[in-house]
Amino acid sequence: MAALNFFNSDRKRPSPQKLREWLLGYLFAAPFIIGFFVFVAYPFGYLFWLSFQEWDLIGSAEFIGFGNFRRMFSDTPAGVRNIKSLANSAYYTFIAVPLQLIISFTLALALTQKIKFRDVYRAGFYLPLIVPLVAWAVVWQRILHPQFGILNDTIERVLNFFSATPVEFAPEWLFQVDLAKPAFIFMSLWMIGRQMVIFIAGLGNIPDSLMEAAKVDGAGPLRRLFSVTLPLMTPFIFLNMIFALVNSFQTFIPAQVMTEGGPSDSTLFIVLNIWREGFQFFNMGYASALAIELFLIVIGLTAAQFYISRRWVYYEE
Amino acid sequence: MTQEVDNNKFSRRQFLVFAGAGSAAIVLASCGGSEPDASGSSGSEAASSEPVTIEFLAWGGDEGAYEELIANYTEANPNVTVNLSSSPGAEFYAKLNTLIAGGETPHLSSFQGWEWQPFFDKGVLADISDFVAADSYFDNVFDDNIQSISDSTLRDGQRILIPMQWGTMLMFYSKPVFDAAGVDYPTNDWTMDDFVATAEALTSGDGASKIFGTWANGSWFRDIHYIRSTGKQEFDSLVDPKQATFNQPEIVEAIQLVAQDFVHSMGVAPSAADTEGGAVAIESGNVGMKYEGAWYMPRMNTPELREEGNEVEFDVVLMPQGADGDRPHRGWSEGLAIPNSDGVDAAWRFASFLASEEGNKTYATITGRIPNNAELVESFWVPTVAERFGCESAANFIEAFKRSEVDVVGGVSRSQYWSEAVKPVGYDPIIANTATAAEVMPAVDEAVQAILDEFWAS
Repeated sequence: MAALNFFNSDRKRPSPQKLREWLLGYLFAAPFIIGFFVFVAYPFGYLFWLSFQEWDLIGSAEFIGFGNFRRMFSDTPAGVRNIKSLANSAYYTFIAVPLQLIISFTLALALTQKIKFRDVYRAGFYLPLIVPLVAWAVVWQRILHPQFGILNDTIERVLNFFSATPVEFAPEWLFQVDLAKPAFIFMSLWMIGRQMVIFIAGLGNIPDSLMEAAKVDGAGPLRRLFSVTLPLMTPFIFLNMIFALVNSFQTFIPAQVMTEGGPSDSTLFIVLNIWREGFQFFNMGYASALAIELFLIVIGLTAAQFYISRRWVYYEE
Repeated sequence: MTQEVDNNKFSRRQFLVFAGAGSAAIVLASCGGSEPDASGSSGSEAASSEPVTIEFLAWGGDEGAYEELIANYTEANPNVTVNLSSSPGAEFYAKLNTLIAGGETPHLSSFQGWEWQPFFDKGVLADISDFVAADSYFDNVFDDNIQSISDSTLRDGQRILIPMQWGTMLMFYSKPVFDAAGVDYPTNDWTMDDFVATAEALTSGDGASKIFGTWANGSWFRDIHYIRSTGKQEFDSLVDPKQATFNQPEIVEAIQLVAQDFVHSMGVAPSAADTEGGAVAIESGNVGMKYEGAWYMPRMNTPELREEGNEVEFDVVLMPQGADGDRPHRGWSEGLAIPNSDGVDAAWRFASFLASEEGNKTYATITGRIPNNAELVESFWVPTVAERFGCESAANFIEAFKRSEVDVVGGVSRSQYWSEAVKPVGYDPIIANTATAAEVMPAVDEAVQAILDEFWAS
């Protein structure tokens, strides 16, 4: 019916003034609209098309139906790598994200107290974010070096301070299968400045009147934290969680620079695997299918979070 | 308004059409025709004076040499412009593939002797056989008596790769480390047992001051010498293999020794963690022996390093003798290939200058790499590296290359076997000490076979 109405001659035609306004509106929005189609819609459509092709960048693409998607979960080396990368990214994300949230929230709480040099501390915790990721990765490579890194050296000094016998502490963080991912999680805690800043902004928005009322009602600091602060901060926790989730699944540069996915593929994360399939093995169609897989995972998890958020995120009316 | 125009005058549109067509004609003409230049003179651009632009993608690290060569070439051929771009080894083929996919295929590209074959199979690379036949200089370059030259430059009877260098590797040894340990320098008649005993004798100390007798290569392709010295090989054929044969007792034993035992049980070679950051290296003075190519010489001993007092005196020796009486060494040609385009002629003229005696001398002098023919190696390179890098036994490279064989070449590149199968399935767990060679080699065979089966099925 709507379509019929649209062509109905009785339907009031927009005035020339209205048309000019629309045209002007589209004109102003044109940079975004063009940008969206050129840089988002077209590449995404091309990616979708490519995921059904076999293409090595050199020859012409060949349609193979769902071949790339079947390959993802096959017992071929490519399928095994995909499963490994999914497991690695899941491990990293589900441990790193809660840790990042807890630590950044704790820091934000600390840095909203009236302490000396508060702004210096805030700037200090935010500073790592302005360091280019490649430089960040190289710095951490040095920090984690088994023999010459300051991490092992510091821990060894501390242990020796408390021990009667000499203690040697030299775990090969980035060279042992069982230590590499924990090392990456530890490193990710260096980059929590953005989450901290968002939490600080949120904490600043909590009305003093609520805190005063809670105090008058006899609530202690912990009670105020759990009954007033946390419920009011849930929208910020939710926002940070979504950002952290998406970022964690997109981890690439540190793994590429520091370990190249090793040892034994233990830091082969999803995006690194996509890059490898595309630009190292030249399976561009399969890499596109993996990118669609990542897209669905991130969208799925985000949607699930939004659904669950109804139960725990509190929005003030 | 009339559409007619005076016949003696151009309309603006006509002018633009003619200008466009003229420009296109100039560009096409500048790229040259497809018939080979039979002048027989390497690198001469004298036949044409139209502007020519050559897009050249070079192997990262060789830029210094190529910049000088380009300057020399364009000085003699002022109508030629060469746009040099480069990419480091790890990203080189990703960049090349992306350029090809984007329709920006370079006119000339560096290639390793074992990587160009899949490009050729897909129709990317030009056959240069006719050009080569027309230039007698290349009779010496393509010495098909040396098997590794044929295997790494020819495919289906067509000549594809233009060698810029001989590729082979020998054992480098640091004289100060040997002197400090009171161990005799190795000689060409040494065996695998001698090698292991020497590595043990050189190893001393611990912690940050430890001296390691030797170096674990950490990769299958660098360990190929040890594998082949057993008399066995990892494929049924080194050219277009159909069968993976990694899982043989002799190969398993060789890999176990050099990739895992050297590091983890014998402690004669540094681990990947030890070497990370470059503090432990033969050029740092704390490693006795390392398997390397001629390109490593500039890191050991150069006039500049000698001036700074940072040189490490070294020499080279043939790889230790194993069970194979022929004592094969790894070898390949490395150089340039010309992608199919309208610019093949111009690219050949430039490439043939680079590979000519004059060009190759400049290239070898700056990079330390071995020239592309025996005459030049003997008469020019051996005395040059003796003087420049203090390498007294560089003639051993000639001996090694004469008995050389390729790693493996064919429709599947060596890097694909390594990245997709041998590394993740085999070498990663061996190096991480989480599995022995005997435990992983059956799976390596299986994974490599899967790649081969997939290739031959397609």
